[in-house]
Amino acid sequence: MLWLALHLPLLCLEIHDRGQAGDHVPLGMLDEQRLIAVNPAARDAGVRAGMRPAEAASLCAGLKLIPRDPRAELDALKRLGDWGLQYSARVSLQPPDGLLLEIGGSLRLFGGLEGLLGCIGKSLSDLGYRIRRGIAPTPTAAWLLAQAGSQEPIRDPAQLRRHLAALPAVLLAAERQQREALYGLGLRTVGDCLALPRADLGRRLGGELLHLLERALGERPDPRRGHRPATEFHAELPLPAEARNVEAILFSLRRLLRELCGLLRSRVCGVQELTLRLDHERQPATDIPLTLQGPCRDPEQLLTVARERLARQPLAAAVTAVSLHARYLLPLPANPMELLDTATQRDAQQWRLLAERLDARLGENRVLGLSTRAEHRPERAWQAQRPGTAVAGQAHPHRPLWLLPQPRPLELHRGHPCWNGPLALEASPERIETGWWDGDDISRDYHLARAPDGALLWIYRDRRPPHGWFLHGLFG
Amino acid sequence: MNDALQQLLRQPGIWQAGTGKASTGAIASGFAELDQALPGGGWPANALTELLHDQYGVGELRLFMPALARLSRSGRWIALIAPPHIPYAPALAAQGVDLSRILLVHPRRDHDTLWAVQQALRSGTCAAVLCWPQAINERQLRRLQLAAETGRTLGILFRREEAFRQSSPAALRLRLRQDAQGTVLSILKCRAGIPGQQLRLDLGNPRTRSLPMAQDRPPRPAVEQPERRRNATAVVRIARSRAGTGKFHPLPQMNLPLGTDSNEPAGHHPPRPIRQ
Repeated sequence: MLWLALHLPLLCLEIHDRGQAGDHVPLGMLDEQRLIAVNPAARDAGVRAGMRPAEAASLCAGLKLIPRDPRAELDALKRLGDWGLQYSARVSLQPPDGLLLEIGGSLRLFGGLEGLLGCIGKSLSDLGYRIRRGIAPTPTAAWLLAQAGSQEPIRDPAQLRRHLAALPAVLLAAERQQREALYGLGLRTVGDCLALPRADLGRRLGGELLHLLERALGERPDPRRGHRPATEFHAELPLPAEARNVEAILFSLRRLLRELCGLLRSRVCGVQELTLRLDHERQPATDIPLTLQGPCRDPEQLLTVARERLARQPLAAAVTAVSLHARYLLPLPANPMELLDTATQRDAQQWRLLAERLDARLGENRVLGLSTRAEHRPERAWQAQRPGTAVAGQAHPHRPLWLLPQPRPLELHRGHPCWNGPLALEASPERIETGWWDGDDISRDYHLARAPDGALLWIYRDRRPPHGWFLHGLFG
Repeated sequence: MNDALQQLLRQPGIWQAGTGKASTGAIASGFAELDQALPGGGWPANALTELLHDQYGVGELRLFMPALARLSRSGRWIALIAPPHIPYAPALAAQGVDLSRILLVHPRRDHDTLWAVQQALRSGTCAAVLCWPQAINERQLRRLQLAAETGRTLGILFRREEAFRQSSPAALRLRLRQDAQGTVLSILKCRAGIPGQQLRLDLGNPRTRSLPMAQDRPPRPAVEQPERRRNATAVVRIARSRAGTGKFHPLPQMNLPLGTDSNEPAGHHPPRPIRQ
């Protein structure tokens, strides 16, 4: 067993901060009338954690103070848990700001520890989170190492004691009393604690601290509750600076989509329908539905669709927050790897990409496929449907390549049908008389007709009064 | 100086009239005469082709059908963008086109049409993109030509004859007309080939028969069809043309006396005025 602990010391701030590209707006996180975290822009202005709001505001005029929101932090942490399941089957949350992953079983798949850490590190920085990590054979030890900011992985249980001994003892203390007791006893490091007899240590500092120490050393069982992935995805990203252009929105949207796709990979699912919601200051929010041709879990593909969709619709007002909702996660098995490069598979994905792009920009029902229907009425012998779904149907060699959506009445000149001049009828008529059962029956004699300009037309004469002539198709 | 010139001439985008074939390959049109007249022996692949015609129904689609039927079975797609009427599925199927590979796009605005054409040409997933743009200028044409090269796609633009006056980067420009004798195809511009040729084509009978054609049904007298009245559907072919080949093209011109059901081969009638 090898555990990776991810500590997100700035989680409370980052859930408000990561929606903006760069650090333009100075932000401070406020808890009980004291700043507990500041972003780099605020730090550059001289604001430090621990300051009072008035003091901070005097140092930095544009400082935006945000009250702490434990619920949003927990939601963000849960979504990180969903994301983490793509790297390990055993993920456990360490509220309020930590995540534990059992990575011993994943090393091979990701190409060793270096490969896995590289993947996770890049993915997290794409999401906009900064982490400290610790790696140890027990979850508690990994968590202690992460909090201490120790980057060096410990893979050998025999080395665990030596490494833990170097950590500051304060990490073991959950409460202020314990911290004071440690200080009073002169225990600076974990090693100092380990040097004492266990029974005395428990009596003086409380059983909890002792248990923590024993769990860290692997001497006491340390069961962790496994995280279960969500069945829907809802995430909101506030924008500290109002966004007025599409690029700024796409930046935050990319982070949300990556988070979503992390969940989708964890669950081996895809999404076909998404709702993008843009919040405005004084107006009702704009809901933008995004629909795809099939389930997908590629963030770049989703982003392309969103980009075209946003290009179609101008922003109603400046955007203050971007949120993404996916209600239905559809099963989408991973593509099996093939020995030989299969062009067809790549092609299948590419055409979907094209159809989705066109769909997003042009609107619904603008990208269609064609199919035949077993019907004798010409206007019903075809249908538009989802592209790529046509089955081989009835071919009819006597039909024109162009059909008019509505038969167009032809003028009569001395009882003779005209279209850019009098028409010459070719071949004998074909009678179509059918459809009585649905009340939409027809009775027509169809002719081929040659117009004076050379066009070959498909016209018919209604066999019912008033016996009009109509143009119904063109032999294009 | 000379070296620089040679270097310039070696670029694939530059061709010299009369020197060999177009470098980009060709797609057989299915009409032997036409293939002979075109450099490379067919439609220029990876480039734009413009067909100028003033009427619909002069055979503008039939001209491309043999090539499209084959391309639709190559695994890539055929995109029809902003068609003026409904592309009729039973007729397309009869021409051998695989309907499951047809992508029909109806943009709302002309601006979107050109965007969609460019996307379709560039994506590389379409074997052919057919488009009916309203208005298009030379710069936009150039962009489409580049997109066709990038995506290795046959781009076909259908335009009105007045577009002839406009210069165009398309590899091939054709004009299609019908006269009393039949279909006349003029080659107005032809990259790496000889422009100014005129061809007479029999669009109903492609000369090369390597394509899957629609099944010809044997001629059947119309009156002996009691079994076809299933589901009370009465579709009665009153009379068929003499040969009954299943293809409509080489039909004799006839002025049918309307209102009467003639079973005789109509070609023997002298032209009569139509009475109602």
